[in-house]
Amino acid sequence: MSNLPEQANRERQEELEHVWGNLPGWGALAAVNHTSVGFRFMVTGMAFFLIGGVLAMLIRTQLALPEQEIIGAALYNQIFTMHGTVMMFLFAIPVLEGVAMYLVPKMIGTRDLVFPRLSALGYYCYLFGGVIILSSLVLEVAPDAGWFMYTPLSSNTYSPGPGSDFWLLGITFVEISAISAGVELVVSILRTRANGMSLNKMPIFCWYILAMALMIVFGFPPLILGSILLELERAAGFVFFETAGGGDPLLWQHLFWLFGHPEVYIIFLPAAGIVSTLIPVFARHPLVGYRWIVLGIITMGFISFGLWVHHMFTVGIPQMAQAFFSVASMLVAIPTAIQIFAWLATLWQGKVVYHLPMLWIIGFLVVFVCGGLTGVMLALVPFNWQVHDTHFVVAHMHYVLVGGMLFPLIAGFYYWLPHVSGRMPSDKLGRWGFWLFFGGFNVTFLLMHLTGLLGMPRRIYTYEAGLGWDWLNLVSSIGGFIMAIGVAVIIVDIVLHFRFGRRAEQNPWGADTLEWAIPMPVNAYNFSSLPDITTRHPMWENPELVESIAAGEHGLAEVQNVRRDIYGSDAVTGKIREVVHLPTNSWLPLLTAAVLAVVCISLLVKVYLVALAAAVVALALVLRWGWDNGAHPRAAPVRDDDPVDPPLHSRTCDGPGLWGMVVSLMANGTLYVSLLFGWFYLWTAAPQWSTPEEGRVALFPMVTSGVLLSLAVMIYRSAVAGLRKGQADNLALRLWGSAALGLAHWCVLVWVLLASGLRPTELAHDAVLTVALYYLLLHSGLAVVFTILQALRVKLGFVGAKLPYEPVVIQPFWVYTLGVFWLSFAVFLLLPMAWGV
Amino acid sequence: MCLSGRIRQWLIVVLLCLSTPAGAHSVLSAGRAEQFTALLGLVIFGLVWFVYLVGAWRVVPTWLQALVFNSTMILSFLALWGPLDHWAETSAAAHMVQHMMFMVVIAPLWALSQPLPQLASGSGRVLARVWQPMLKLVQHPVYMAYLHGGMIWFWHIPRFYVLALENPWWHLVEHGCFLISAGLFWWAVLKSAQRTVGWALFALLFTLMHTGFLGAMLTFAQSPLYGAGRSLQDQQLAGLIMWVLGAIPYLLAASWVGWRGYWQMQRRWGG
Amino acid sequence: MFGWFTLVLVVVIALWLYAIRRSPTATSEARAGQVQKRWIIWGGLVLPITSMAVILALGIPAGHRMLPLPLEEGQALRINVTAHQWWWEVHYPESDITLKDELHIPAGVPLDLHLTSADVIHSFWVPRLGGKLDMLPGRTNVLRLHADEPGTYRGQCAEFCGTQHAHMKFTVIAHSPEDYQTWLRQEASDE
Repeated sequence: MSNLPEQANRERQEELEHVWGNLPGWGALAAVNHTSVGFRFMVTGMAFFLIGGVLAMLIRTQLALPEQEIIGAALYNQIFTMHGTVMMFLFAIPVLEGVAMYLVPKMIGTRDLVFPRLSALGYYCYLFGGVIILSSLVLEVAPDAGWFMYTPLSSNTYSPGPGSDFWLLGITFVEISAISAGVELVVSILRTRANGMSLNKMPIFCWYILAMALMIVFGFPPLILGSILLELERAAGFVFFETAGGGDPLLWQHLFWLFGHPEVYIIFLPAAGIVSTLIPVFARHPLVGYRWIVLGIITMGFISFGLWVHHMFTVGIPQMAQAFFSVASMLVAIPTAIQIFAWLATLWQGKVVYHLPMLWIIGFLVVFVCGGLTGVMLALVPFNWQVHDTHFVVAHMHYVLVGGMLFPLIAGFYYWLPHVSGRMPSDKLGRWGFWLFFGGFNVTFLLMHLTGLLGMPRRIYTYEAGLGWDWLNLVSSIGGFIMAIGVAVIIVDIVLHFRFGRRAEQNPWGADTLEWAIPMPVNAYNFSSLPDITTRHPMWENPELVESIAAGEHGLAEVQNVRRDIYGSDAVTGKIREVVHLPTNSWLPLLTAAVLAVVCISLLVKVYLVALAAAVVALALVLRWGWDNGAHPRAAPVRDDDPVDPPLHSRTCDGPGLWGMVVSLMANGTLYVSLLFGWFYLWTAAPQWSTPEEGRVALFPMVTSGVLLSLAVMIYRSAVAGLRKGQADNLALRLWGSAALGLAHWCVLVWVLLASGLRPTELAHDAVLTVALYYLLLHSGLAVVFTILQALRVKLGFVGAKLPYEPVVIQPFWVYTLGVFWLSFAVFLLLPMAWGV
Repeated sequence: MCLSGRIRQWLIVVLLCLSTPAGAHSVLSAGRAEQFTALLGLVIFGLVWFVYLVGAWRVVPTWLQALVFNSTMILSFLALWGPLDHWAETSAAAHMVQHMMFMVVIAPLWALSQPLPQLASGSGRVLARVWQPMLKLVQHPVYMAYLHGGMIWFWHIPRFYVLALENPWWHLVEHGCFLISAGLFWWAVLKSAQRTVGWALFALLFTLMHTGFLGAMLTFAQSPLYGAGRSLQDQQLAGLIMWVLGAIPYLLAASWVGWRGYWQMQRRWGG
Repeated sequence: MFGWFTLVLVVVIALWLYAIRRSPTATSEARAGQVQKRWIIWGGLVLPITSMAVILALGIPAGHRMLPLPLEEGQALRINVTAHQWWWEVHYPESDITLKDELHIPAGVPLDLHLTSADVIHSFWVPRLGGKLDMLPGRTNVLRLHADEPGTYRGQCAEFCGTQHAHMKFTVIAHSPEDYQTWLRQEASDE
């Protein structure tokens, strides 16, 4: 392999470019490449940021002077709701996901994320969902119940218009995208690292992203569940959050903050990851306390899941709770402080080179530490009682989010710009941008603390003169506009640099991570050969990697069978285990997302038949997309020259697909557990909970259906156990048998549902039960469809003794379905019988 | 070595589970069944300690292990026969504290003190057969978390909770369930093999969340769940103890598991 | 509290800036490791833990004064407040007086306000008298209020509750105990 002649090497690279590149022209819409998709995420996110910023300007205009009526109360409520929604859901998370998607494969030394079509689907879901939400603003029916949509204000009675529906459906749509990105990032980081990159040699940024992605997987499902339930209440009249009938508005708050509290850290972690990446580079010193930081990240993730009630201090939690929650809420200060001081120690030990990104890092420190300290104050309950829901909280929140997320993000943008464009940003304009933004930000929000202490509540569209708030608000508004000018300068700077920036040399900042071994501006395939990694700082210790990678001296240098190949590696050690062949450009993600958008819109305009039809089409598209996998002629048909050591992933039993399935089921399981929590919670805490006289779900048919399902799973498992041993006797027959039993189970379950006479619109008890039955039906139905397709694929020769991959991937889904069935049986049917005292 | 160490570890769990239920009600309280179970508990408790001390004579533990084990025994004694037990009869919160002591303090400390070599040596190898079947279980932290979770939830269903309160034999079973499953859970999590560190963290997160859910329910419940005569405030306090204080050991454990996993990784692959 | 936090903020920033400016002298590996550990342990563990301990020690007793704990003697005066979109219904169960957007209370006496809502979630808040508490449909929360001085206090809904949220205000008038009795008699006779 060594030292191909110059000409041959160029041809090799051209072939790589041909295989990995996007289609020309409009064909770029079919791109699945992580560089393109990540970049699109970032650009779209910034566009939404500007829209959110304009909304903020409108808010500041309205509040600049007392008793103004420029914007009426109704419109003002829409604007502040949308400002929060856009910034949190359409800007902060997607942009950071975009950064992660763009950088992670480059940092771990591979060519793409592991489920490329899923990245593209995620992007289009995000784009369409965002456009649907924003269209409500244009139609002047935007949601106006605040970005956390507390019920009953957001319910049908008090928000009769379609505004809340836009929020619930649009956000759910966007969150599907977030979860798919989360799953994909987890599996990519764990399973496709460069050869030899054990977890402790992984760039620290990837640790942060791993934590963020896992937190998305566990954090978002409660909100998705909450949104589905609230939409069911609004559209179909199911009772979940209405007190009458046995619901409880507080359940929404629990579900929302179960998501909302981790969300803050989901936003903060990747941004902190940027800081942890940049500081060592500019300090010219390895990150101090790498181990401590990894520990801090894990602890932070855990803490964020324990304490959702943190946001509900004033709902009247029992009185002794205060002291407990104060302590618990403050705990997060410890992992944060560890990171801050680890960064400080790195700067202390190193010899700092001063560049523009460092300016933003210092800005981050000042603003974020300030926000963190006010956060500790807020954790003190008596203080919280005083300032909760005032402008003090608004100020705190902006210090944490802007300081903890936007400042590092912009530092990161400046830092990685040369990577994208091959040019250096301008120092002069950049400094202007920073100081305008930093100054404007502090003028706006530092004083807002005082406004809040003086008693100005948040979310009021106007206020009386003479309460001491007048000058503060005016100054805040002026600061806001200075900040806007700062943003404009930064944008001008970035746009201009693409044209006028000085050409960047290779690795312009002297960084240690692998993404700088890629030629600039970036190509479609990242690395023309995949290097082995022996150190955490490859570019410091082996700078010659740039040449040797380009010359094709490392792994997978040659394109095989016009296929996109990367290495799959061990989750812990990073040793190569298989060659993962990835799908190429595809229109299916765009089509699927478009059809899902049709589902979303038809639900909004309440044409449910169309929604149902479109949902079926979407499912068909997804199945179509799965069809082209494995040994299908369009993927990796069996050939004589297939690599053997390592083998192709579709010939193994433990490929990335299985990991993807397991991580998705974790998200799914979180959703289900949230539903169980809802059930228990309503049962014990809803003020007017009531149960029907006798159980409506027939027990015996339910048990029958459960037995059928158990048999189906047993047969399926025996088939897979055989495959794992390399035997495929009666494989098709077993799959058909399992599908048939599954179908029988499904039919009995449908009968149970129809015959039950549940009244979900009258009783919360029945509403939860109905949703649980729907959930079971959906899962066993999908499992049956998947299994039928597998049986067909056995017949076509895409699955067999040497091709065991796909049935193995589907097995956890069956097992999950079975587990959820019996758990539901116990919790929804047996438990009520055992409840009474 | 590792294998037999695990086997030995099991003895503890089994014996402890037998020894504790008796303690839920004081030796002095009325009723023959109660007196009998309480006495039985005291005897077994003493026996375990005795066996350990004999074993420690033959197989000398590190001073740290001995310290942890013996202080845990003192702690168990206090939890079982101290004033806490007396309060637990009337107060849900005190009862909760007692349960939490078993589940998040005593059980993990036992697992950390690794007393099985001493116990096995002290008792002869007879008992090894008892725990043999359970040996494979602790290799699956997630299943252990499910099992432990199932036990916790089951015994908080009002009917069974009250049953255990009223009948000392059921109380014995209840505490046995808590201790066995807690022991299995902590052993699986704290001593997780390199490859299962990720699952151990998942198991911890799962347990943190569901105990939080249970705590939240008790905290927000509108009426006393375990008998109308009981105090709602007391029940709320019990919920809070489970939710907030109970969360702290899981957080610490997560840090510890992460730290330990990292060290193992660094030892094997440097960096 | 503010003083301490400002100090922490200033010191942390100053340290960072100094760390950036300073040019490190060559040190041995072991010495460097020591310095690092010291930063992380003192700054990352000791500093936040002590700060937390201090403010909790100060804060929790302050919080307890706001709780509707049983009084040493007698019972706190009970007033029911029900929030509506967008007004307040005040009811005195003892004398069966009902008021709108106005709360008359005796100064120097602890009160228990029983708060609930007739429609969406609202929040009861008189900034100068104490913390706020949410008013939830279907539930009743109890807030202990204590006005030291007679006077007029401004109150406001603190949880976003719809279009006219900004205008959902009320007035608390604290009378001296004698004036309060007079007012009570007057109101009762008016009813």
